[in-house]
Amino acid sequence: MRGTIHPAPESFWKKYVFSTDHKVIAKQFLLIGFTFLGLGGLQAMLIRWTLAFPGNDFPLIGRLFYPDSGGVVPPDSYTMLFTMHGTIMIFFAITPLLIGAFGNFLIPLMIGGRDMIFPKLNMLSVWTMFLASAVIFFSFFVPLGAAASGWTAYPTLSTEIGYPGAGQTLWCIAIILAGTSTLMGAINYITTIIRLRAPGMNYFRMPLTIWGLWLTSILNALFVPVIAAGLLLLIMDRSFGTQFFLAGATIPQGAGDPILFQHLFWIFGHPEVYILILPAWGIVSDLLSFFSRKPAFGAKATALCMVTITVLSGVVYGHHMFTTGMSALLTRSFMLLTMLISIPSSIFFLNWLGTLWRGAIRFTTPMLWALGVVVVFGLGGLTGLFLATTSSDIYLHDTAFVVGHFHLTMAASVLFGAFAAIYFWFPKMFGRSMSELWGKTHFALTFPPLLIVFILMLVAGNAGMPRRIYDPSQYDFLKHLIPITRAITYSALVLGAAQFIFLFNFLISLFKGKKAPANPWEVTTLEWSVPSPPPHHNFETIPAVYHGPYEFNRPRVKDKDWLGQHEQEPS
Amino acid sequence: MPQQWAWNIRYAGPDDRFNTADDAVTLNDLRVPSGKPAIIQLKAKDVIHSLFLPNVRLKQDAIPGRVTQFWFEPVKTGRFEMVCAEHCGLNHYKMRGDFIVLEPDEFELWLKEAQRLSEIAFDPQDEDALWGWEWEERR
Repeated sequence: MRGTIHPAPESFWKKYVFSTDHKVIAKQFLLIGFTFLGLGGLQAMLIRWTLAFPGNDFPLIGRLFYPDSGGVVPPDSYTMLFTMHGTIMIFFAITPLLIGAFGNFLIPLMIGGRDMIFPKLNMLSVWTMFLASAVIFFSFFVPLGAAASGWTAYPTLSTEIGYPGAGQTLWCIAIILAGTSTLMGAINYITTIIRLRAPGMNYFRMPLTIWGLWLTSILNALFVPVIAAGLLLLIMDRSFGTQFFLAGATIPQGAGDPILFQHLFWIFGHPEVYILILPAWGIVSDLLSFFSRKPAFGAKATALCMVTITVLSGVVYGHHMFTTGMSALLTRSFMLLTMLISIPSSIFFLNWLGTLWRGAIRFTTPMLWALGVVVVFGLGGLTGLFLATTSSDIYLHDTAFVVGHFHLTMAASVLFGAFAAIYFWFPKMFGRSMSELWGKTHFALTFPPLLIVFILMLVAGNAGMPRRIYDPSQYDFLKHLIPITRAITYSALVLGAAQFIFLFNFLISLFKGKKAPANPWEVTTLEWSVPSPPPHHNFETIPAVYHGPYEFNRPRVKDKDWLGQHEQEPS
Repeated sequence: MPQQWAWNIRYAGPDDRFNTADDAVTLNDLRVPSGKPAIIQLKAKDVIHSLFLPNVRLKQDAIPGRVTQFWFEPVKTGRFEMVCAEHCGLNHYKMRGDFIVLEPDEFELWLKEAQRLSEIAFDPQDEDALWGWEWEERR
């Protein structure tokens, strides 16, 4: 049977809350993602403010959060802020947005399926994520506060020695729950893509968006269990008296090894950055082609490069641990393997440029964001080389350079990819159009400050500015960097304020936006062949697919410059 | 040996062995002679720290339960800073120390004085005073 059929729900609860429809679940993930994106963004503002003006109260709303100190972020709260900012952005904002929302929404629609192959598992996945979100949110309110040992949670700091509060344990539980949710999603996505493709939709006819989501899901299925295992051991160390990661003079009898956790963490942690970026790569590859009105240059090569990177991503994690005193043979091997990733990355990056080359570019809002990804990912990718090289990494490790690098790659690129996706698929999701003017304003006010923020972080890191410090003015050699720190903070505040444009544009368009036609962008993929929003079962009859998604300007197609995947070319 | 949130530093005394009564022990004050290779071994007391010397472009994690090491050869004398580069808790940002490169003869003088002061302060009954370890031979 092709396409899982479950009857259209009648009651409010079945329809909007406990729904098994992938389109509704996608919107639920979108809501979770947006909520935590706002929370994580607010934390970023507080972090930036503290770094630039330590000891000064945060303007306007500071007193709301820190009434005891008159609005000043105290050092213990600062460590909580950067820990929870990282955790929330990675596991509770980006993952639900790109993988949860767009994975759910796009996979069945783009491959010609009626729903996910396991709709109930899908519902369980979103509700597990909801539970995880609740746990992480309420961990702020337990005695001693939320987790504060960094998003990497290295023992022994993350054990009872460093942080005895319940916050850290709840943090572990929340990540395990979020991981379980992602794992259920991953299994669902992988199986759906293998089993539910419409007739004629072979693997190389799938849009690159689907390739990205598919590879992401495979990485999730392989590596999320590793972090879950690591965190389970950490919980046991914290609460049940085991000593997997405990050693040192404070635990004289401890025979564990804190570095073991770092291995477990980064075996997951490095693939995780590809988990986050792969869907964005796929989306950008598609959008660049759609709005250049020409085929994605070397689409097959791009897909194979993404496969290569997926494979390599599992064997490079050691570059996060060059300063732990790892043997020189290992650091050299990891350096070489990491450098290898730049080959497939360069190929698909050049493919992006090849797609744009001499295209009839339409500068729509989604296209602007996609072009933004090309710029920020280019910068982020290049700065990665300095961190892959052992000799320069030993200096740059744990400095603001690393922070700048990973924000450019896995934060800015992914977030821009998510914005591109939202502006692009909003008409299909909600049946209304977003304002192009405000979308472009949003881009214009986000892109330059974002570049300033992260490029200046690279500069500060290059001057030796360590990350995760509360008050840089403690150090003489950092005093001359204070103007840079302040410039970053001012830009970050502009960046943060600009996101309200998006929020209002989104909300107003949701209720008042112009009704969207079935195919407002004039593109080829299957989801645009059905009405906006799509009916309950997506496709009345499962479409037959005749060619890949990048058919533009076919000579025999007369009245339009594109040819849908479900349309046959006139002979 | 770093701990939350300070650097304990130990130099071998005249007997050239570590963890004996004649060691020079300092707090947040790392001094090395210029023009000679300096080898540093690290072991953390409580949580992971990382010794970052921005002026020699090096850092090395200090890990509870195992010894790590690195070496460098300073060429310029002067007063610099050392930084903890690995988040180690509440006062991580305050974990700064002096890193001072001296001329070799100045260094010898300072080391003698530091040994004298450490020996006065040394209490054989105090187990905490013997936090060091025998130098670990590496490849």
